[in-house]
Amino acid sequence: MNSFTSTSDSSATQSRMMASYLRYFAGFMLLLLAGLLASSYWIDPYGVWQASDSWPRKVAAADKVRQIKSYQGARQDPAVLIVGNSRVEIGLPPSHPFYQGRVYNLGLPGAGVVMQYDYAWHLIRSGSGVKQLLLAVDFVDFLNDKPTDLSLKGDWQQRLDYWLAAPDRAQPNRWLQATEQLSLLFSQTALQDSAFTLLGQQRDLNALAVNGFNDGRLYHNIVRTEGFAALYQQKIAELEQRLQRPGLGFDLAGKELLALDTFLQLLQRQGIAVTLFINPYQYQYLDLIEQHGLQPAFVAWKNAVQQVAARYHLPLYDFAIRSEPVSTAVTLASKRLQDNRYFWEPAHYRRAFGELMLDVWQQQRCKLRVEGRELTLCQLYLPAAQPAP
Amino acid sequence: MLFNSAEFLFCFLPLVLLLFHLACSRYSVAAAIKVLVVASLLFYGWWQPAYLLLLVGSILLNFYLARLIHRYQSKALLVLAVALNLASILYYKYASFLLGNLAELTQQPWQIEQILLPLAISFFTFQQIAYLVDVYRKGEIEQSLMNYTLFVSFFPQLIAGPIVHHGTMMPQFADPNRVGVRTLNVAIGLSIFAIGFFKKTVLADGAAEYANLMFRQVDAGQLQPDFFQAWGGALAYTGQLYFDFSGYSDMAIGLGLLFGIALPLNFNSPYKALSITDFWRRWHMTLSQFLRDYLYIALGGNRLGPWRRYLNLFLTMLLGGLWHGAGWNFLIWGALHGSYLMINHAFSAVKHRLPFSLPGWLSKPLSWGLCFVAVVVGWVFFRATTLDGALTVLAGMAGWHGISLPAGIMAQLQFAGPVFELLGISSNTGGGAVLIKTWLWSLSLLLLALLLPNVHDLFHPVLAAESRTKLAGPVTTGWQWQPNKRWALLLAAMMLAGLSTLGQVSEFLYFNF
Repeated sequence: MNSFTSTSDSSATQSRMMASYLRYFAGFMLLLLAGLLASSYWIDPYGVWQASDSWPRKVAAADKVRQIKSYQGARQDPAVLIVGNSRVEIGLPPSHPFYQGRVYNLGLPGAGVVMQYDYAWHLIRSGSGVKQLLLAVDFVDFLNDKPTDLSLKGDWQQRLDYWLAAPDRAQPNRWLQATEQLSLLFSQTALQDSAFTLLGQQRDLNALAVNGFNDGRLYHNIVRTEGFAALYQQKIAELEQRLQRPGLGFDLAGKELLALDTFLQLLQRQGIAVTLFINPYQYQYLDLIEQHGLQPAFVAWKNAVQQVAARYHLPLYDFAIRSEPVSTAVTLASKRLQDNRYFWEPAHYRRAFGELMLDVWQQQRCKLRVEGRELTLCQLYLPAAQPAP
Repeated sequence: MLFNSAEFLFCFLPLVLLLFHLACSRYSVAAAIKVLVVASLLFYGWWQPAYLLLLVGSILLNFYLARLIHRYQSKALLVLAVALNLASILYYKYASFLLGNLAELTQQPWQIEQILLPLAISFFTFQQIAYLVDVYRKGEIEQSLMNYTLFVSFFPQLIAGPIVHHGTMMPQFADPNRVGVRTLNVAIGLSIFAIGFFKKTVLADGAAEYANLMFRQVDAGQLQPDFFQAWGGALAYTGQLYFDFSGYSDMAIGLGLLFGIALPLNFNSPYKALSITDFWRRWHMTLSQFLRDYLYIALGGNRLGPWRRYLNLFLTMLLGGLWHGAGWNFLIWGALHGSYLMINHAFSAVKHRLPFSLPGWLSKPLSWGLCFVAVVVGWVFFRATTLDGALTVLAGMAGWHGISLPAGIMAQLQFAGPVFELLGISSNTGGGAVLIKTWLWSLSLLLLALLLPNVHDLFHPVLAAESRTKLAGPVTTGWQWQPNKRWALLLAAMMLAGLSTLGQVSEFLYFNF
């Protein structure tokens, strides 16, 4: 048999064989495609389709949240939305009496405030009714080392129908959204991630739940193998690098504050109850802010946020103070998860601290009894801009 | 347009195949050739319409110059034609490099604007130079402008080869029994395409992430890789380049067959080579043949004594390096391979005079290891965009930047602590997952390249003579493709795996040359 030199006697047989082969080839392609689509849908590595509860830990989703959360959040159609960065995504617990309905954690690791608010606004406008919103603000998200323009445009907006810059005009890019969702179902990454999801249910890896909460179990793995010291060493080095950028400072006229103001205005218009708070930093982080000469900017930023909150008659809960859980000395050498109960590293609080924060909001006061002792966990700024006692 | 793009696979190819088949079955082979010519020009123009003029101009100029050379048998005309081709490639590909170096040498502020390199200029220029030389030498001439245009621009091989010889292509275009859509060829072509598609999209692109990560950081001066990082990145690139380029060549061969055109094999498991000479018989075989026939032999080959032979080998590889790109790293890569070949030939010449010889079980792995390391060292120059970058990677591979493992891995391997201490392996704060994935990809690709059969092995009995080559040697595996269910299932799975990558954009590495 040769593709070009076959004799006429055998050519008819060959043609039949090849035609049959091609039919099998096409048939197997269709069959495999259907099988893969079905398995991706059922295993649901990104928690977007939510067809089954069999594999609740989406271990492949934790590093793809920007691609996932707009679709996942829309499917969840939450009544309570948590908005912020990785600190709320990992630090707040998924259940608490303070949540007034189905909660979705829209924490976007590494995202700036404009992106955070764009995603949130998209979900609010696309969903059937967000009633309560927990809004975390972070000092470093408002720092810039060069003057920024006031444009609220970003390339992520293509996957959203609504965003802050044009809040009332739906501008869906259906083609991109369709291809992106198709890639969550059928792509090499989706295939690998389906297998990863099956294998990774018990592993100490960060996993996203369908309600957007990240269980932060990678921290478990690192603490057990290398100890807290490794986490602190890496994070402090990262923060040092970030905070020592020349010219870094807070710009009162920057677009971040404008975005916050715009967002709060929109939320008020929608009649959504907002809980505004400043994420806690551990004492090493607070020390670094001071050491890099950013304390005046930190104070100015807090004042600015407080003024914006006051404009919309919102209380502001400031957890970035030197409270007892924040200031407790860290057992760096420890490889036990139960040590350093409130923080994984200087920037990320643990769910135990998140529980306390939710208790604070529920009771609307910063002083709580924790393990038999009265602790002041935050500074509460009331809309009248007077610090609460 | 890329072979691994949705617009090519789901729009361009089916449409062209349909029109080609209609033209062939309802009209004539000549009409089908016209369809292919239009499709090929469209394929080329899709990338940068302006350079379509360059391609068409080059085709017309060479076609008519060839006729003049044929008519007058004039060496001066041949020299003029070759010079015009070289001038074009010199301008587009080398002007900036040459002027930049001249300016640096003379301390003059000369510079020219960066010229956008026309896609595939090296391929279509050298194919045509070979044609012109053979018109003069052998009196061969193509009368049909359409056939000639298709020879130069046939879209499956236009962008990155295989470099085709007019002697193997023109007779196919003229043969009505060859050109056409036939079930037999479609079955074989689709199967070969599926293999190439999988090699490129799954294997090469999978490794690319890890190769690019290391080389980009090093070229930007942001990383001094230690031993494991440097070898990991270099081996990832070694795998990436082979599966990328050989994947492209397989896809080209498969696509050619869909239209009834057989293209030559371009790879024969080069990483299985036991010597550098053997390597060049297996790597980019059509370029090796071109360099041998039109450069090495033109320089005198081995007819002028051993020393001239060595010099000719060196010069051929040096120019071969420059063919790949205008840069010092390509020159160094060419010079390295020229030196390797000289040493290889010199050793072969004196080997039988040595008082000892190693047994096969020892000499074969030693030869393979030596050859493979030499090739990997060469690829470092080939991949790095700066000379400093290449030297930094090589220093890392030599252990000059230390030997370390991420702290996370060290913590998992505490039991091996004394061994690490003995070998001077320290810990670092880098990412353990990246290092592990880099090495898993690199070693997996190497094993696949060494253990699995290639297209030549799998399809040898069913390939046309034009696709087979003497250089490929005998088949070394019992695995043979058969038109049965098992192969249909395996290749459908590979095709599907390739299709699942369509959301990612990745160009073929050899598009740069």
